[in-house]
Amino acid sequence: MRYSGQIIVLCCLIGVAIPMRTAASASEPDISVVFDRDAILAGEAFRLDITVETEGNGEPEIVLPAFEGFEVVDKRVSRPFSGFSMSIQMGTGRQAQRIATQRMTTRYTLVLKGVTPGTFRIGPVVVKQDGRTWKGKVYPVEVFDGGGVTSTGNDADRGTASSEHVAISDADLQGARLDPRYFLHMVPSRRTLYEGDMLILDVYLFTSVGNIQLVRFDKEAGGDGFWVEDFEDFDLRNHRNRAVEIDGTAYEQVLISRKAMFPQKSGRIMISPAQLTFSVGGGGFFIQRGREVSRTAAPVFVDVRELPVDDRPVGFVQGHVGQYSLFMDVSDTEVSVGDPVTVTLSVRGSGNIQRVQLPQIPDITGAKMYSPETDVEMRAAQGKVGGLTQSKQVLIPSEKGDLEIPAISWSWFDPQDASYKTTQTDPVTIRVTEAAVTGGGRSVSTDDTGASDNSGNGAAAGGMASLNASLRTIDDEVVLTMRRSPFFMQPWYVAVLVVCPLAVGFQWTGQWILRRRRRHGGVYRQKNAARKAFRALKHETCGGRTMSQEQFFAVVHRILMVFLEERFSNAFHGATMGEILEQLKTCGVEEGVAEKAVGQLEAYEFARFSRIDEADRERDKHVDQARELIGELDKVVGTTCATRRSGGA
Amino acid sequence: MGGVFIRQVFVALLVLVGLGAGRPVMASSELETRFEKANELFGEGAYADAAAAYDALEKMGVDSAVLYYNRGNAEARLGNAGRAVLYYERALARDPYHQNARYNMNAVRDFVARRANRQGRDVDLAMATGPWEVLVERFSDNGAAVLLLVVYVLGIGLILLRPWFRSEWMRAGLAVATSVCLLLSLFMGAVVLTRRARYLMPSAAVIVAEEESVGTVFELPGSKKARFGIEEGARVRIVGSRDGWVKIVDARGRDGWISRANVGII
Repeated sequence: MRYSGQIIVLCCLIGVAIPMRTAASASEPDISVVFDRDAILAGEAFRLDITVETEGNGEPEIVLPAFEGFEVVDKRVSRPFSGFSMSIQMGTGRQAQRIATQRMTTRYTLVLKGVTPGTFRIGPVVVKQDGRTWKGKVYPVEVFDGGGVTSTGNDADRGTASSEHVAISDADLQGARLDPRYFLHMVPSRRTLYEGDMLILDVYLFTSVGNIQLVRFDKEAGGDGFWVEDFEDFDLRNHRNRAVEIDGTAYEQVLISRKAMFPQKSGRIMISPAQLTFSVGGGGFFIQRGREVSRTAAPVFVDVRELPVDDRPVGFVQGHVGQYSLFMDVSDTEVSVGDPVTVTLSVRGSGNIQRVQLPQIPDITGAKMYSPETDVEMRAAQGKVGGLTQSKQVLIPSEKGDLEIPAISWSWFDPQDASYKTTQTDPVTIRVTEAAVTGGGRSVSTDDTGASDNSGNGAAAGGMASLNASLRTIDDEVVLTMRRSPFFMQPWYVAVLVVCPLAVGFQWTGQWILRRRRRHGGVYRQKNAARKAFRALKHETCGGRTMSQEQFFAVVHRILMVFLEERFSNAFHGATMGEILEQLKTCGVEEGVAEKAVGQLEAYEFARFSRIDEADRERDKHVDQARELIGELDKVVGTTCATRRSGGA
Repeated sequence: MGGVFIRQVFVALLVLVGLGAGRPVMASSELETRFEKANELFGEGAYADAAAAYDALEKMGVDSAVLYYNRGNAEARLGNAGRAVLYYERALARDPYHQNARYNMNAVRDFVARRANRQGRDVDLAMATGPWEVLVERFSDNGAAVLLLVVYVLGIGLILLRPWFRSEWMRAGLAVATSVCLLLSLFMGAVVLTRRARYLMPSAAVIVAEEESVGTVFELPGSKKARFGIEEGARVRIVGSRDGWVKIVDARGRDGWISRANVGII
């Protein structure tokens, strides 16, 4: 019974092709929501880009959220990428199944306008495809009244394609390693800033000769003490080169790199120089390769001030520098016992969002708190760095009543105002009622896999309590086995696996030897006849002193006759002595030796029936004579008598 | 002479069997009593005590599908969905045809998935496996080993018997039977090798709730940079380990580091 299922599986494999049924289903879409700014003023229009990348069989259905609190000024839809499909044929005949996967990118560009100041939620974007539903994130947006937070950076328009470069002044060229043909120079957006604040570092190539092609950065600008972020939208092609004149030499100024840098310590910190390799003088009609030139910029020093100690709020975490907003959101304010409630804490704004640590929600009596799940979305574009960090924490009420999530405060340092700021969420009350009766929860599956139903009355609907009600109970059957290695790890198992082929090998070897002996048996007998006879003489006549004379000579006679038959492959039994003599001669035995052999055979025959008992010493002498005769006969060159006779014929 | 040889062969076989052959040893009456006591605790609703009693049996060396199944039920009653799934998985690893364990495991995973969906997250808790993996999972370790031995010894035995069969049609039938046995031996050998590799280097694991940081997979071991969240009860594959951290790959192929305490090996 224990292995019956496995045996059935094994049997099913015999002569049965396993149809591969693979259903293509939609994979999770990539939903991206990008705001064109962090601070939104009431009455001011802003752009919101929603990009949804889907992959699946059917057409995706995308449901945009209702933008409550905002006026939709403009809405455009585009599909920059669609139509790529991949088909796979699985199985044969009726089992054949065609799987088509389609990838599609849908982009919504919305222009929204904040109507009134306040905190609003945008999202989630809902995507339905192939019977499955996904939800994107919810983005809290704060609309300020009039003079809200302005964008970060001294020159917010630096990164845009249409913006002009900063004019080169003597101050900007301070410390530059001037070269009449080409040199590299780094320009920080500021030289004095607070610890954790952001500066933008531009790396320029000044060249007085044309036809230059960038090859590679051997060394990026940066160094210890900085958190560096690359701008996602930085593209060399979007920046126009600029003609400048330095000390009477005309240069072309090329922006080749732009990074956001956040100092992580205070003091005078060096930004280590960038090193660039570029090709000069290449191209032409035959597209020859130019000469590679390497240039290193001069290092740049910035003064990083410590964050002020005065008025530092309690619980302030180093690294919270920028302009931020804190939001708290609760999925439900009225739930049943056992129903999960998700508390979402979000910090959104400008600054190094990667270093932001979200505040902890304290333990709440009457609810089981699960560990928070944190997600960070950082974006460095358009000369700004910022984003959203969000933690979702599930709590499950265990008793009815009111659960109160207390107000949560959070502090950061605003480098623009050079002051600490603290914000606080409102306390939230969750009303918890008795658990709903679910009527037994799911239906019991009876198929092999025990797959659950999709009726919606499953365990999740009634919380953990209904799940437990739907579970099958424990097994009372006492079939306890002790932990031990599986059979295939035990030596006896390996021994059996090894011994079995050895048995086959032995059998085949034995059969081969038998066949060979059968085929070449005569030769073996001939070769071994003398040795066999010597052995027989030694063993069978050793008891000669106890044997009777008749027995002794009978044994010696028999040994000699057997030797003759095997050595010459001829039947001598029943032949007269004359016939034996003739046959031995035919086999190539010299006449003298043949006569000697026949003479000895006659002597043994006679001695068997003689009444005179010979002394033991005489018997030994006969044995020696017999051994000598066998030795002489064995030296006869030839094969069998039959061969010789046929050869002679 | 012949009798002595047979006796020697018999003794040698007994020694081989004594090295480890035979069915697993049945638990002693004391273990059975403890198991029944744990079941009684479960029946009385003392799930934590029942889980502790099952745990004690596991530490005493009991390694049984029924023990893991009951332990999974106790963990589910305690609200530990991740640990419940882990023990159901262990029960199924010992007995792939334990229907109740499979049913309950699917139910708990379904519960976790619905809970996540309600919070706006779409999750894949079960590891997608290929046809070969599915097939291998249909065999237990010892089941595969026994089946391999049966078809293998049968095939070898048929080869050894061949010289005794003289008629042509009997030899043809024997050849067909031998071929089938040896082909099945090849298949079962592959199954056994796969299971042996898994036994020597276990990689299948389940996310369980042990620490505050459960459910967060990080960029590097010990780093604060989170990569993605993962639900308890999700089946993952361990591909590396370092200093109390393990590198996992989830059902969607995403990889990252998570604290070792948050992962239970099946």
